Parts: sequence; C-alpha cells; structure tokens
Amino acid sequence: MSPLISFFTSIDPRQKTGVPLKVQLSEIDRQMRVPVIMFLCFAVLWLQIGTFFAMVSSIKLHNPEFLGDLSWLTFGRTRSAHLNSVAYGWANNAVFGVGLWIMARLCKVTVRHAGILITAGIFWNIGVAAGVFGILSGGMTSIEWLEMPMQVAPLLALSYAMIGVWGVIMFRYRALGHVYVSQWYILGGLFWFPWIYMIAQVMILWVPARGTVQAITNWWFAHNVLGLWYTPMGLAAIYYFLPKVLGRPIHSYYLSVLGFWSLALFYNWAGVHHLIGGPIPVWLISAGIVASVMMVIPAIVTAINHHMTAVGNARAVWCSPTLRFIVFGAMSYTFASLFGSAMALRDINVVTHFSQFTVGHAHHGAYAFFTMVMFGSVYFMVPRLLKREWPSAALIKVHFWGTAIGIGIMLFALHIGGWIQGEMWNELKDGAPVYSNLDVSQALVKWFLSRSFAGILLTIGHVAFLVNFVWMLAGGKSTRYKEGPTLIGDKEGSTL
Amino acid sequence: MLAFSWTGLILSSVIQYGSLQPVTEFVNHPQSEEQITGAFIELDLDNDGKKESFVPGVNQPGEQTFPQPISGLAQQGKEVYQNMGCLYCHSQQVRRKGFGADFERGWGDRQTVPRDYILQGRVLLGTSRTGPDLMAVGQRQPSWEWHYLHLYNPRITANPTRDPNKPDSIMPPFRFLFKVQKIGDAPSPDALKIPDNFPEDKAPEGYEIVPTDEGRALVAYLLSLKLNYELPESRFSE
Amino acid sequence: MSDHPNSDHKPDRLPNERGFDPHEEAAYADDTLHRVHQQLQREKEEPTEGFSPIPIFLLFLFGGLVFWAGIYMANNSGEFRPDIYNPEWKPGGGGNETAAAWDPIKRGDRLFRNNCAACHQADGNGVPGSFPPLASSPWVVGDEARLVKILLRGLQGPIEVMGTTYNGAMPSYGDNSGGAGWSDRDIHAIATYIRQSWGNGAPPVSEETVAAVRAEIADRDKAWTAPELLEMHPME
Repeated sequence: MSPLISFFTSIDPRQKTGVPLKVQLSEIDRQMRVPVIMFLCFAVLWLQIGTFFAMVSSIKLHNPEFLGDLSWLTFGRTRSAHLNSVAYGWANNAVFGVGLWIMARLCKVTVRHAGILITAGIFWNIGVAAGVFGILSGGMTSIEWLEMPMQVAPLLALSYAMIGVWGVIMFRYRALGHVYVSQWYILGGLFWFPWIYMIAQVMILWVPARGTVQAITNWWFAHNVLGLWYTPMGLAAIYYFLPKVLGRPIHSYYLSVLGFWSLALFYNWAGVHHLIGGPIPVWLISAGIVASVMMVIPAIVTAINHHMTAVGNARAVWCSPTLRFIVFGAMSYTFASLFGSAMALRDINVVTHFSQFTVGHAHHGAYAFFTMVMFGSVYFMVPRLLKREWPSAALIKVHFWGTAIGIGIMLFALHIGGWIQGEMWNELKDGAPVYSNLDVSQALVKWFLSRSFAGILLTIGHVAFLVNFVWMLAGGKSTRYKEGPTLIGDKEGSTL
Repeated sequence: MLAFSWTGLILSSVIQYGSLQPVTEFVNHPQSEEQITGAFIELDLDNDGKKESFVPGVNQPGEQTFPQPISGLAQQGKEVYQNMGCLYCHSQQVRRKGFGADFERGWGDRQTVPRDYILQGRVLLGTSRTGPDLMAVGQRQPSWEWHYLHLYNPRITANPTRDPNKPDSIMPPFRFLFKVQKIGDAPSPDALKIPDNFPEDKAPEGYEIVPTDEGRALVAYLLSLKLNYELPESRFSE
Repeated sequence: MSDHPNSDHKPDRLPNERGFDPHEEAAYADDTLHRVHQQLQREKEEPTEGFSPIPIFLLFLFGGLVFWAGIYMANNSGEFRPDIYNPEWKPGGGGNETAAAWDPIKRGDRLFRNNCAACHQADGNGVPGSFPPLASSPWVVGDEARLVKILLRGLQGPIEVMGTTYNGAMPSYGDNSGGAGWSDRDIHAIATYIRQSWGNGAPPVSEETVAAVRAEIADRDKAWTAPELLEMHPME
C-alpha cells in the first residue's frame, strides 16, 4: 500500500462490524475520553478566568476607581479579556468537547490519531492565552469579537483546522442510515466557523477593506459567530440530550428540517442590524432587519419541536441535572431569538441600540441559552467518559440556582436599565435633550450594581461547578463506587 | 448560504462604495441648497484615469477635499484609543436628525456617511454609548487642558464643585497616561492645573503632573475628531 | 476512496439502524457486555425523530412574514443606491428635512451646552480656580470685538476676571487649522447667546461684525493673551 492509502486507512474510524450498539458506544466513550476530557478541563478553566474578568469589569462600571491605576486592567481591556476568554476559551473548548463527542456517538465512529486532536487542542489554548495576554498588554484591535492581536489568528486558524477536521472525517465515515438533526447542525457549524473567522480576519486586519465595509464585515462575523457557531452547537446538544435522557423521539422531523434550513438561510444576513442608523447604505440595513425578523421562523419552529418533545415530563426534567440546564437553555433560546428579532425593528432599535439592552441580549443568547446547554451536556458526558458519578448533588444544585437566578437578575437589570438608558439618551423637550450625558450614566449605576450582584451569584455557581468537576476528576471514593446517577430531585427510575 | 450573505452584504458593499473618494467641501457654497441628497457625480475630467467627485455647478475639481487624513501624532493617539478600548463605551457615528437625539446632543451637525470613514485605517464605529459619542469631540471640546484633566480624573471635570447632589462621571481614570515629575527651571506648559477642590489629585510641592507621550498622542487624536465639513450626500441639519 | 479495505461491507449491521434493539443484549456473551460501563447500561436509546406534521398556522404565519418582508424592502431600500441613508427617502425628494428658521439664541443654546458648559458650567459661573465665569463677566458683556477675538483665536495665560486671576488656555473656535472651525454664523450665535443669558443684558453681536473681525485678524495664528487684548480694547 502506498503511504497515502495507508494514511487514509489509519484515519478510518469505523468500528468492527456486528457489534451491539452499547458496546460500540462504550468503545467510542473510551476512545474519546482523553481529548474530550481535555477540552472540558480547558473550558472549565477558561470559564473561571472569564468570570474573574467579568467581575472586575462589572465593578469598574459603578466604581470607576476600582483598580483604576493599572493600565492592564482598564475597563476596555478587562471587558475584552472577559469576552475573549469566555468566547474562544470557554465556549469554543466546550463546543469542541461536546460537539465532537455527540458527532462520534451519532456517527458510531471515533477519532483515530487522537494525538493530533489533543495537540491541536493544546495549541488552540496556547493561542487563546496569548491572545488574552495581548489584549491586556496593549495589543487590542478594538474590533468587537476579534480583539486578540492579529498575530495569534494563524495559530488559532491552524489549530481549529486540525480540530474541526475530525468532525468532518467522522461524518464522512458515519454509520449508514438516517442522519440525525444534531449531525446537520454540528457539520454546518464546523464549516461555517472557519469561513467567517478567516474572512473577518483577512478583510478587517490583514488586508483591511476600505471605510465602513470593515464595520459590515465585523458585524457579519460577530453575529454569525453566535448564530452559526455557538447556536448550532447548542441546538445540536439540545436535540441530542433531550430525547436521549427522556427516551422519546424528537417531535417532528419536518420541523427539524425547517428549523435548520431557515436558520442557515436567514441568520447570516442579520448581523447588519448592529449598524441601524449607522454610516452604511440604507438598503443593507433594511436587508438585515428583514433577515432578523425572519429569524422568528427558526425560533418558533425549534421551540415547538423541543416543547412537544419534553411536554409531560416535567418531573424527569426537574430531576435530571442535564435536562434541567438544557431545558432552561432551550427556553432561553426561544426568548433570546424573539427579543433579537424585535430589537432589529427601527422603532425599537432607536432606543436599545448603543445601550446596555444590547449587552443584556448578548448574555441572553451566549449565557442563558448556550452556556446553560453546555453545562447540561457536561453533566451527562463526564460520568460516561470517566465511568464515575458526580460526587455531589448539592453542588449541582448550587451551580444551577446560582447561575439561573444570577443570569435572571442580570438580564432583568440590563434589559430594564438599558431601556431606560436609551430613552434618556433620546428624550427631547423643545428640541433640547432633557438629560445631560452625566444624568444618563448616573442613572445606570443602580443597574450596574444589580449586575455585579448577579455576577456574584454566577461566580458562586461557577465555583461549585469547578469544585464538583475537579472532585470528579480526582476520583475520590464517593465518585468511583457510587451506585446510580447523581440526581437533583427524587424520582424513581430517573436517569442521567 | 453563508457565501450568499457574504456576496450580498460585503462584496456588494465593496463594489458599491468601496472606492469612494474624498470630495471638495460644500460649506461655502450657498447655491448648493438646491442639491438633493446623493447628487454628486464622479467623472474623469482630466483624463488621468482617476475619477474626481464633484457636484456640477457647486464645486470644482482640485479644491481642498474632505474628509481629511489625521496627523502623525493623532494617528499614534488612535493606537492608544484602540488598545485602551475606548470604543466599548464611546461610539463614533452620528445618526440622522429625527432618529435618536444625536443631533440635539451636539454629537454632530449631520448624519455620518461611508465617505466620512474612507481615510481611516481602522474604522471605530462602536456600538455602545455608556458615554457620549466622540465623532466630533474635537469640535465640541477643543480644549486640550480640559481633556488632560478629564482623562486624569473624570470626576474633576464632571463635578468640579464635588456637589453630592450633582451626577458624577462613571468613566475610569487614565492616570497611567500621566507622570509626576520634578519641576525644572519653569513649570511645563502642559502641566495639569488640578482645582483646589481635588487636593488628593495634586502633585506634591515642587512636582508637577504632565501627560506621557501616549497621553499627548491620545488627546491629539481626540482633538482631531471633527465633523465640520459637509458632503454632497449628507448636509448639515438645522 | 473505493480502494478502502473496509468499504465493501457495511460498517454497521445492527438489526435496527435507528436505535437500540432491546433484544440485542441477549444475543451476545456476557463478557462483551461486561465492558459496557454502568453509566451506559442505564442509558436510554440513541435519539430518533418522530414525523408529526407541521401545524398549518405556522405556514400562514410564515407566509405573512414573507409578505411583510417584501413590503418592507420595497419601502425602505432606497432603491438599493449606495448614497441613500434615510429609509424614508423617496425618488425625487422626500425624506429630506425641512430647514427651520434661524434663531441665534436657540442655536447658541445648543452650541453652549455641547461646547462650553463642560468648562464654564451650565450656569455660566465657571469653576473657581480653573475656569472663569461668563455670567456678568465684563469680558463677555463688554466690547464685542474683544469677545469675538477670543472666540476666534482663543486665549492663553493669566487673565483677571472679576477680582480673581485664572491661568488657563481657552481653545480657538474660529481658526480652521488649529481650532474648531466655526462659521461666522455660529460665532455670532454663541456670542449673542452668552451676552444675553444668566442675567447678562448686552446687545447681540451680528454676523457682519464677526466677519469683519475675522478679516481683520486673518494674519494672527496664535492665541491672544489678556494684556494684548486689553491694549487693543481697554476694559470699560
């Protein structure tokens, strides 16, 4: 055999034939153990780092003298360090772990050459660490969602290629038969992310486009990284774990198809709504508004599909840590999408644009939906990967209530405070503004304080998660010899 | 799918207005009142292969054109503006009169349009207004003295009398853009004059507070931000 | 990859492709199943999809949305031109703002709030020790040429206002290269405004006066000092 053929043979991840499904899954879990656990470790670590920067930024907003003499920790840098740690550190590592694992299970194949995947994963995280360091030390680009110095982009892109390609290889060698909806979303996301990332890097940083074309590219990227990377991965996880834990089929294949294709069709046009009223031709903005409103379709379709699957199983949802987080995330997805469509309308956008409302909306999607779903996924996956049980149900409860109440307060504060802020900026009397610049920022302080309070709750949740996770990795007696799943409610015959 | 939107949103923008050129100013041409929005044309008048933008009967090719590039020091200041992340609280775009209160707040006398940004290496529109817009801050607040005090401690300029009933600024201080140095033969011309109400911010006796090179560059950049010219497609609102 | 050694047989020959077959466990020896960990043992089947039809109201809703999208684009696209920025624009005019009547006090009020109040304060009283007051200041209500000169070129160095000495730098609002580049009309508006606010009762400054002063000092390229101005225009 030529070396080329032997290489292709060696990456063929298909399993021996004629093996029962659960034995296959067991083999997949075993082979995915090291890379997936590695990605989850990095994810949990970045989550803590991101939370730290979030708290610092949040306090600075109502207490500007806090750490005010350190140029490394000035507000613009800490909030960007927060965003990049949670986006490229937490969220991407979680996506790599969760997405590849679901893909492996649904394709009934696994990753050969896990060493390449692990090495690429380590380099990805080195890249993110270098990028966050670059932001803090004065290399920030001030392009939203792409703050990292441009020098780390090639490393990230290359590492991503060596990570994402395994998802594509697994799909290529998938077991024959029906392609499940989660597989579409993961495969789509794996292709969409590198495309938007590279275009944005090239057209804004490496060979900058002229004038406000940069701004359009920027928001095309920043909106799509949420809509065509985190959202499909989050939906893939919901579509996998919801029927999996409940043991019932997804309500309707037709709704899944409609949801997927309408997302793929409309979402990528919607980013321009971040520039409403801005210096670009009005037809581009109108196109973005129309696409944003059309996003009602996938939101409603997906909501019906998930609701009809879960309906009648409230008790099971409540008891399973996985489902409690995932259903919280699925509901947030619906609300965040509908809010997003409404915010794109000119009459509403004139108030919410430039205000904390937008910040609230970003956390609605990225945290209340995506992050909560990832938490739920981790609670399902780790026991299977490590063959252990979660050591503490109490810590899971602390995690859930800390994050659920925390994000609830935060969304309330930012949406209400942001709306008031927008109205104050705009309010006119006899052609003169009613509130001075200082009035507006002063009015925000109490909402910023509520946000910091919410941040403390989120931090408590994240620390509980970290403790439980490390405890499980360390593998004390309570995790190894525990009988049955760790549930957070008492229901006979519940599973995790 | 993605390729469609990339073509539709980005490529079409590059084609439609990626090659905009600076145009001559409108401000001293009262007869331009008749011109409707978007009446500029682009023609290669002197056959050098480069198109000139002008409005027939209003201005001539060869006049001073706008927007204008910023100076070298201001360009360095823009780097500071970028790496400090000013953009996360301050936008640089003015919405049209009637859509928000940007005009009434004095953030700019007209809507900003793509041509305003064509000479900027990196476009810093911003999407957050925790503080005011800065598109024309160099026009609105042309005092470098004010800017130095404001960057050193925003509370000094926001509430100089320290009246607890007055709203205060929530902008972070940028004291690391300043240094305390011993007064030489004569006080430096740009040494900060901290008001008596802020004794804790004053330099010790015999010392003075002066901006670092970064601080000077940043203020030069802020002072260069102006929107004092009209464009054929966007004229001053009254 | 037809030369693949595995490709001539199906990789997966489960009796039931879509899910877990409840009978399969019986078909295999215990030692095979022993390898399956307990977390996996208790798992339910791999997810599958049902085939419920799409509710009809959704199709109506989506039809309505598509219809709205068409109307919206037709009304708000500015004919897809690159130089239209106002969604209300209609071919052949419309969407343009109508000019309001010129009122120097109104204009001056806006200019003052946005340009001067940061230093001189909204009540015109300035900041003791840093920025001099405008209210009842003889520099404001006195000789109009002196005031216009300060506005056009700025002021540098110590200045005595109503018994207190201030040492600062007032920026230039008239000089287009170093200052803010205000038009004669705006200087006329701001001068008139500050001369008639906070109990100041001085007469307005006309646009022509501003133009005349601007022409007179065309050669001057730096800020004034107080003694210089007092020499030209002694305090009344």
